[in-house]
Amino acid sequence: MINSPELSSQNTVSLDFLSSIENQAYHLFEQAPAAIVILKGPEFVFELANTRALEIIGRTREEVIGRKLEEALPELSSQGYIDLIRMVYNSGEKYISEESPVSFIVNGNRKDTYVKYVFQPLKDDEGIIKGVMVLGDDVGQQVLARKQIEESEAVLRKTKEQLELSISAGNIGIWHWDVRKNVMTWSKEQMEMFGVEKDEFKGEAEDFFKYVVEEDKEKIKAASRLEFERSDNQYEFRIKRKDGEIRWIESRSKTYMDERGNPEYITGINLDITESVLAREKIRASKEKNRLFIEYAPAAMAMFDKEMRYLSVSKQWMKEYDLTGDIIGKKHYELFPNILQRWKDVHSRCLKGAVEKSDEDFYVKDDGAPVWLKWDVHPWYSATNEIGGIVIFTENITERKEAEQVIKESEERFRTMANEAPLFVWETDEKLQTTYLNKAGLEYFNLDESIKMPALSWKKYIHPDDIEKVLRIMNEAARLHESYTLEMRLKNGSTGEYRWFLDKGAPRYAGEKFSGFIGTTLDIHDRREAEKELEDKVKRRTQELNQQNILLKQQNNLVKKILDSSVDLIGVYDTETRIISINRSSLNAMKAKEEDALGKKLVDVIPQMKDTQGYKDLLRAIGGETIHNEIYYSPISNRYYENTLLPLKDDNDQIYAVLVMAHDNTDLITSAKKLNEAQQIAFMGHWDWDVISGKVTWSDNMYNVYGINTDEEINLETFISHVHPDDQANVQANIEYAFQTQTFNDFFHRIITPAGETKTIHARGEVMVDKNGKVTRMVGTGQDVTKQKSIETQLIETSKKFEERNRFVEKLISSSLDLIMVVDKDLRFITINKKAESVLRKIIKDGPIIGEKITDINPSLIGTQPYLDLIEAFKGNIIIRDKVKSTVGEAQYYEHNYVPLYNEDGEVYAVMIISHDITENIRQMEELRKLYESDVQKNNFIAMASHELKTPITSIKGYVQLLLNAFNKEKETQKPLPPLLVRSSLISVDKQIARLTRLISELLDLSKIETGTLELKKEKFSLNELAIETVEDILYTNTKHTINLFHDFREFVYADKDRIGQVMINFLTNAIKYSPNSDKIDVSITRVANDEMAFSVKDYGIGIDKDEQEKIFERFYRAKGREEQTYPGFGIGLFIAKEFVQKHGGRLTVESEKGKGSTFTFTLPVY
Amino acid sequence: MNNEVLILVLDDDPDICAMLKLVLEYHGYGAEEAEGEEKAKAVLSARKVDLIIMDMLLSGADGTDICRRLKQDEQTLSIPILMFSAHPNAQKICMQAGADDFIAKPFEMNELMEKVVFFLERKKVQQD
Repeated sequence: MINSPELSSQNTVSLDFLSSIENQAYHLFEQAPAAIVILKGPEFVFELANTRALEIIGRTREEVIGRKLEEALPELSSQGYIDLIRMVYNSGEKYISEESPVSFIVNGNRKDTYVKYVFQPLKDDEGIIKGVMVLGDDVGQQVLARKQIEESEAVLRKTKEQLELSISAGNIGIWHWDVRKNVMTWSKEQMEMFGVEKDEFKGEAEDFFKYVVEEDKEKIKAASRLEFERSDNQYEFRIKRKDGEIRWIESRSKTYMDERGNPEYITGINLDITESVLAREKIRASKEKNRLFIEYAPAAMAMFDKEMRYLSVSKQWMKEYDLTGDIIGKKHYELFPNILQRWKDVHSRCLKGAVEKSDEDFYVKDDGAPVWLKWDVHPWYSATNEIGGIVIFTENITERKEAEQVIKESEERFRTMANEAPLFVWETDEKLQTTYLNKAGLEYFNLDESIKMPALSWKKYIHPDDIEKVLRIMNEAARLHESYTLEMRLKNGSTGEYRWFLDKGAPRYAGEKFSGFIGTTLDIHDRREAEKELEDKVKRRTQELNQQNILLKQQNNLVKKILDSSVDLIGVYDTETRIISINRSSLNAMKAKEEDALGKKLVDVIPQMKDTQGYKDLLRAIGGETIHNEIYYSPISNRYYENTLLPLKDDNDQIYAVLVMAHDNTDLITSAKKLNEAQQIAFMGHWDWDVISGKVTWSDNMYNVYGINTDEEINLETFISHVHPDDQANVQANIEYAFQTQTFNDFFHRIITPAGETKTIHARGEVMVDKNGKVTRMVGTGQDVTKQKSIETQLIETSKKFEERNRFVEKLISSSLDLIMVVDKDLRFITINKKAESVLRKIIKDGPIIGEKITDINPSLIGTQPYLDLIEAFKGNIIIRDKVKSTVGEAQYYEHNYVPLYNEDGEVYAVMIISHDITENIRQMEELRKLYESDVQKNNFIAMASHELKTPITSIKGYVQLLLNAFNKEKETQKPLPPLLVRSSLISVDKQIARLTRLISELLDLSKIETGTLELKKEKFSLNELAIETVEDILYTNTKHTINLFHDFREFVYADKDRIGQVMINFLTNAIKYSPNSDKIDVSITRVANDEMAFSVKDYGIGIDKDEQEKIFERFYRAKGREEQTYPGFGIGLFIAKEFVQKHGGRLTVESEKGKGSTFTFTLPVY
Repeated sequence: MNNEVLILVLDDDPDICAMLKLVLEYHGYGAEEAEGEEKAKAVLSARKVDLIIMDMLLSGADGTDICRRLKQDEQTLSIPILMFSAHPNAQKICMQAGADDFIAKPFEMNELMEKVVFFLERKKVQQD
């Protein structure tokens, strides 16, 4: 039975409560040596009657409880008791009687006794009389004892008289037995004594014998033997007379013996001593009865002689006064030396003939305990009618007194509780017949309150299947003096329905004897039903689950075999994230062993999973979501997967597990990522046109470029619709061309984004044909070149570097082919793919590869990382090794994947090696990096260039506007511009224009160099002359420095005068720029070797760092440094200068020391 | 000549400085040139400056940094700063740096003078 704490406690409380009340009241109630009866109401219905009371009135509980007094004890009404009680009830006054005779009719028999009683009215809290309590006792004993004694005394007297009488009457029989002749002679009296007729007596000894009572025959025989041996004998025996009467005979005999001592004859006299024997008996019996009477009297009673010596004493007396051993004959005052004087006085008075008593005498014992005592002392008379001594009755009523109090208090409580309790309260007698059942019980059994208890056979309300158990348990409990608890079904008296009840009972005892049960019974039907249902449900569910488990296990085994051979990661998790099933690939990715993983929670196997998206996905799947990730990155294995998490439901639609499947597509992703990255950098999108179906697939970036939502479907029409109306014809034409020639020509077209932005797209592509030459597909890229277009510099657009970048991207598009090889445990090739073959063929030109050991074909493999990885893979681990340089000649880089393959027995029988050629990737990455860097440089350059160009323009504009302003305002009252101001303004303008021109021509030169369209206009001229001119020009606008010219060599050159001049200007302006704190510049023209001359410019300025000396000739490089101010100019001067010089076949060099200065030199071949 | 007004022109390009000085003086305002922060600070501490016109891009220094510094310095924070640059996105940057106004290079003279007048008038009103 499932324990219900509320129920138990409720039960316990009620029973305990009941018990406590019960214990208290009932204990006192029951154990009270006096009778206690409670009559309720004006009809004096028996509420309570304790055992003692029932004894006295000679009724059973059923016969009285619940019944009116006059019905239960009708005999009382004629004796006036009921009137008496009514008087008490009405008046509210207590009534006491000392000794009243009363008769009870018990089973038709009359029982007379004497009772002492108190009729006490019972009031409630408000003082209203509710009933009457009767306290009393049967004093019949005492009275009878007294009378008994008187009787005995009388008997004694009478007996004595009789005896005397009988002796004087002389009933003596004489007999004579001749032993030798065996002749018996009886006298007339003898014959009379035995009731024998004269002629009946044959004169033989046997005649005598036959009258002896059976039991005494032995005695006679023994006596006869004695008579043979000695002369005087006396003995007693009983005879049965002819008329059946039993008489006691005393026989006295004399034996006459001859000289040899043999008996000759015996003569005897028989006395009929029956009367005296009887009297003796009577007296003895009476005395005995007396003694027993006293001894077993329920009261404390003692009989004393005149000296107060104990003649007899009751057990109760002994107990009450703590006396042990045999005190008969001892003096009372010796045993109780501290006896109060007043007692002694009472004794002495009674010894003189007084009768004294007290109903409620109170005194304090030696130990201080208070005692309530009821006592009774009167003298007893001997046969001679003299006072022989006194008899003392005492009764300790302390407890009863207390009981009275408690009962009054608890009675109501008990009643109320018993009736109000939601349980049945009941009581049985020793025969297990109900003697009391509370209101709740009566209601359930649909019984009237007035029902007679004996009529309630509760056993018939118990379910037939339970009755045997109930009786067995109750009897056992009674036997073992233990309480019991049981569950049983009881029939509802009105509905006939059987309901479950919890029954608790405690056995009661009157002394040693079992007297019945008291208990409670609680309706637990509903609760029990619910419990049963739950039990069943649990059982069913457990069964179901067990079955499911078995099924699942079976399925698991089957599936496991299939799953294990899969390269994909497959796992099944329960709703607590515990691993139910997992395939090899998964285990490998987790780097865990099966026995460590199965049954464990995921985060227990891989703690790092806790905060990952993967774990969150699992939890969501457990919650019921089906999750599919196109790209899922696992930080645990550092791979990309396409994964699916699928919740699994049982028949009740409850989720019991999640299936996780993941396909490793790291390679795909990384390539795609790289592609994406490359495309993003280049503002490039990727398009794929399936000509057959018409569908066009765009990369995300493409959508970006076109400014369209990625879920828009693209085909040829929709694509055209985005093209600028003016360019649509062109686009169509180009596509036509591609179809016809099966080659794709680059072209440009503008598009208009939905936002209204116009962009320029550079379209490139490839055409794919089937074996019949029919165009099936076109793939390509579209690059947003808007920005580039808008900047005047066409250089970037036509840059060769762009072409190179395209090539890289195209290479990315056409997927790089992987090498795939499978080797067995002996490292022999089982199978290889085409790509692998082509690579391997580089090592082993002819002959078989399949079946050969990989280490035989490529011995240099041994000991290398790939070799070690291969060995590791055979242990069952998936190995991924990135950036491995090929051992097969050329500079190839691979990413190797080693995947162990399992057979049915779960053993690794081969390893599959997938080698992904990442050479391109690596190169691309390098290129991309450079590209990026150069882009950054370019961007900076562009920004810088526009700034530089704008500066002189600003100045020019300023001056011009000023002048305009001045002239316009002349009409008004503005002051005119002083001519000097005008002049200086115009000079400034001129200067700025010169600056601007220089800048622009630098750009143009750069562009020409980039596109390779630089043309030199060579002529013969004097380098020295040019130097002089240039220096003069410089000095014109730069007055700070002194420029010294050293012509150590004079010669002509055949070169582009303009350009060379520019180089000179570049050197000089640099020298000036980078030596602000110096005032000297040295220019020298010297000879170098036979056919060369050199032009050098030396400054004493800030100099150039050694590591920068190389870089300054780079295209966009500008000398760095925060301390040094950066100087205006593009920073392309030296680059161009170098180009110019080199184009002439010369060299351009620099010598410099930081802080000291720099010398720039160019050489030219002499003409 | 309105000798009470002094405008500081801060640009590393001497040509620009010269041009601006000329224009300002023509309109009757006093102008001082400075090619860098140091020179500018010298002028600011020596004389009472009513307006600073400066380039966002100075050689070796970030105009916006200088602008911030000027605006954080108690002495100079009340002096309006008009920044110019050739960079198209410069306006936002300049304004965020604390400049009171921005003009794009190459600037229209009329526009420039309007802004100058605005700031000088404002200053006059504040002082009154």
